[in-house]
Amino acid sequence: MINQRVSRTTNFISWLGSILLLILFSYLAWRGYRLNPTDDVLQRWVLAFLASELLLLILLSEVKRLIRHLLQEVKQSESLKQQLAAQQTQKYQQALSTLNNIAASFNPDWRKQLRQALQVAADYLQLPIAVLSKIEQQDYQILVHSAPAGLLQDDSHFELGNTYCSLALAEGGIFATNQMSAGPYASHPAFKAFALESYIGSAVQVEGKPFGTVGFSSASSRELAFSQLECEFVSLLARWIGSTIERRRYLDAQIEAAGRLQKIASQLPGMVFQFQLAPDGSSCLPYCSEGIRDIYQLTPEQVKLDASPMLSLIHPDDAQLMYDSIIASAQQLSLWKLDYRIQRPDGDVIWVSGRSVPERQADGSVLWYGFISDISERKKIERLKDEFVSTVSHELRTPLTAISGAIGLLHGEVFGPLPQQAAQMTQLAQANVKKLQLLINDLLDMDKLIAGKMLFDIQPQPLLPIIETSLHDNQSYAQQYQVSYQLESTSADMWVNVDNMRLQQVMANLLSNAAKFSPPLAVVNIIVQQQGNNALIRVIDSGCGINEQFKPHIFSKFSQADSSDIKSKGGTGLGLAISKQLMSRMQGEIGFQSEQDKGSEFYLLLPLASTAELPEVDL
Amino acid sequence: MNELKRIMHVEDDPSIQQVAKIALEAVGGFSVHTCGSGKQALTDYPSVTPQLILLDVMMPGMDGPTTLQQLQTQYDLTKVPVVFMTAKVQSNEVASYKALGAADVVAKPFDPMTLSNQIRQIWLDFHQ
Repeated sequence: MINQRVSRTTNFISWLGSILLLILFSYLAWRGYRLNPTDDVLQRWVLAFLASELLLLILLSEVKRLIRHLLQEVKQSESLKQQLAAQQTQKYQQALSTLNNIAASFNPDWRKQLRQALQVAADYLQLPIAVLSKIEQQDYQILVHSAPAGLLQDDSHFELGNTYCSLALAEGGIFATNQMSAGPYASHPAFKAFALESYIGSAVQVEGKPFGTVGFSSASSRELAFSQLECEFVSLLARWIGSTIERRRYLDAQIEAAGRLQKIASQLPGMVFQFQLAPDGSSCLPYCSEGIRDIYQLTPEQVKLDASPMLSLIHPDDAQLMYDSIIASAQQLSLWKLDYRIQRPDGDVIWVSGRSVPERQADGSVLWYGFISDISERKKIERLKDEFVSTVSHELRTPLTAISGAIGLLHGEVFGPLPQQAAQMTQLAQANVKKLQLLINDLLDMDKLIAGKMLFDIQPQPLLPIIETSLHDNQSYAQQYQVSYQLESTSADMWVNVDNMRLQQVMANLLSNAAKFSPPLAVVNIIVQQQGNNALIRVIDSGCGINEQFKPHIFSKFSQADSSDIKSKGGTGLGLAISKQLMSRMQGEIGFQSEQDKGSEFYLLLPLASTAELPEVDL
Repeated sequence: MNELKRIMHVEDDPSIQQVAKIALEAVGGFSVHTCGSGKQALTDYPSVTPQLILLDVMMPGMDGPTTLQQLQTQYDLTKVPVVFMTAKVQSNEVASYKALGAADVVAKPFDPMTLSNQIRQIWLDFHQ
């Protein structure tokens, strides 16, 4: 194409030059002929024209040749540049491909993975020895290497100063030499020790801290110095190795943690699990400890993808309860907690207790983390305890009934009048039988309250009659301690939702306490009044009061201000604890205020029954 | 309505049998026939023809509720109130005894001096 253009251009110049020469010589010949009109003049000018034309053609031919030569050289130069660029691109592509192969490789054994990476990189750099080292202070350790057999050994240790890596570290990251003997480090101890002429190495950092180096070397020198590309290649490789070691450390830590968890979980008495409920209703246990073998007689693998084998073992009587509890927990994302039975494949029925915390997942499923433990033994003990309490209750009360009855008959003088001292003794015996009876009742009540087995018959009813009955029934206390109860009511027609007997039980406790702790001849005031939407019952004594240290424990079980009170005042220390529980079950409150040596006021607060709850009254 | 005189007391514990008998006879003026078991009560019922039965709940062999059911099956108790004597007096327990047909429940331990009046009141309430 360029040659054609050159030819056209020169041809055009040739024609144009010829025409111009022809015009010039024609003009000169015409002028010469006018001055000297002879044939000779014309012939000379024609000859001159032809000679000029010949010279012009020769000149143009030479110019044409020169231009073609120049163009040829330009073309060759461009071709060379293109070849060089292609070679450079190929090298880049080779470097990238090598790095890509290294990054894509994976081997569960991290040493093998790094060794493969060193081999691939060494092939690319055309250097036979590759070493990844770990450096701690002045200790240099070959962590992984790739070299001709027998030359190096993993885990060999050297003095850091005697290695090429010290140069890489000193050079601030990367060090490369194609002929060690000709450079400034010819006398370095590393060259003396290993005599490696060519070397390229880079520092490796792990978690932002110096870890070691990666280096490639050969005993032979290289003709060409290491290129910028090769330096960058080694630098990138060092970064990849650093991140690989970081990842491996992280994975190792995870594997160790998982192993640790596995070992701990295997020692737990129950099973630790993850339970996942998908939006379509399917469920599985992504993780489950080996404890499932003891609880359900299943393996973790059997429920990993489908929880049905486990759910099908739930006792039919508890299946609905289990379903409802799971749904409620999933909907409210609330703690799942349930005691239920499992009918195991071997036919045994066991009691288990489950507890887990739910979390909503991005896919809409709910994942619980929790544990299940075998509580069969506990249930058995509870049953035995219930039986024991029931038996003891009966066995204690039967003789107590007989003793109480016999003393009652004697004291009632059914068999004739008693001598004065005998009458005092029967009264004493009767009072103590009553205490024993209350003590047994307190213990049994507490047991029932703790087990949630105390049943309440809560009905809307007028409050004042209950209080009046309580006062009447507890007159014996007032007489025993020589005090009097005085009732004051400012609201006579208040109705409350209570269990009559249980409220009387609470009142009996407050009245007997007030009597016990009041001085002789004192008055215990009982005030019934309305406070907002509540009925307030106050029992006020002028006794010794409650000391500050005891106040926080007053409603605790078996609490008494002074153990000597047990002897002086009697009681189990359960009365107020039971009262608090009873009031709580009737949606009420119990509280107190007291000043030492001045007296105490215990109060009960009960919500008033709403008008809708009251029975219709004919007017 | 006749006056209450004949009471059958079914109780396995001899001490309580004795105390109750004295309390009802000496204090209340009733005539008490004591049975040591539910089985004896079933046997003695036709000859005693009690006007009121005082029945213990927890007894070995045949317990109070079973004895009541057997008595109801074998005899006409429509005019004979049956009163349970028990330490188990939670509201639900009392309700279950009444559902079985008991007229009322007397709590153990009982006051021997007021037991007769309590029984007499139950008798009156039953016949009103």
